[in-house]
Amino acid sequence: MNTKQKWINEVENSLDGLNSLEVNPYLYSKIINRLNERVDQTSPKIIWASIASFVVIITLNVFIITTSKSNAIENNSDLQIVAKQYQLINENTINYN
Amino acid sequence: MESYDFNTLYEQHKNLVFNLCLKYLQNTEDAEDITQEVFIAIHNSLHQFKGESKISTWIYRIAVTKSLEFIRSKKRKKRFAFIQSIFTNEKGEIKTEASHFYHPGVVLENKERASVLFAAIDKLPDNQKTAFILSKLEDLSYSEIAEVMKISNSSVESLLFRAKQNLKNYLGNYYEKNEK
Repeated sequence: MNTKQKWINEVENSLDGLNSLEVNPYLYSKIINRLNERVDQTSPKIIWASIASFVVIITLNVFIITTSKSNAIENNSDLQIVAKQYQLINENTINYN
Repeated sequence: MESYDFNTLYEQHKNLVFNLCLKYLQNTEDAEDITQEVFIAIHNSLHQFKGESKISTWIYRIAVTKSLEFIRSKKRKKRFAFIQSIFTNEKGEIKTEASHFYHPGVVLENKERASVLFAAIDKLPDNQKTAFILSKLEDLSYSEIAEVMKISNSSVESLLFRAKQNLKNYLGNYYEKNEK
């Protein structure tokens, strides 16, 4: 075996018998603190989510009301045309609508 | 199905997770941070664990995923800092080469050689790195590695073969440059 191959083998085996390390004893309390922080942090998220859904509902309502109004006006004018064609409306009658 | 208590799980697996993360990240502080992330993930998804695999396999999977995610985000940040330095003409401290990592658990006479091996492991693609670390450094069997990585035994075998081949090439080149 040449020197290069010997060196490669030594490097490859250099982690044999690697000792396991002990974790920092304060890590557990750090984790618990972070878990508690996350619980506290969820409340603003919920608040923002409810605000967003409220805005969406209001926007949808406004949209539906405005579109239904314009449809009603269109339907109304259609009705008047039909009524005129069948002479259901007296031309001399004043329309107060 | 067995129910698990978070505190007990932490006590049983804290060193396993920390040491595994350290082998990936090659930095004690980063390994500690990711150990925290792993246990937070375990805490938050413990109710989803269906018991289809061993709990340790599941924990291994989370630790591997979190470690690889951290390495990727670190690389992204390095790349971003590099690009930023081009545009701003600043001489930022950008380390393109990983600094030597001396694992505290390595016996003194192997410290230098082990640091070369860690540098070589760091160069491996994610899958090969995982297969190598779990097999060579964690002593898991092929079927355990296959379960952690969600691949077949033969894929593990082929990943290990390629990992060893790549390590040999890297070490060969390193020897030519530094040791000759």
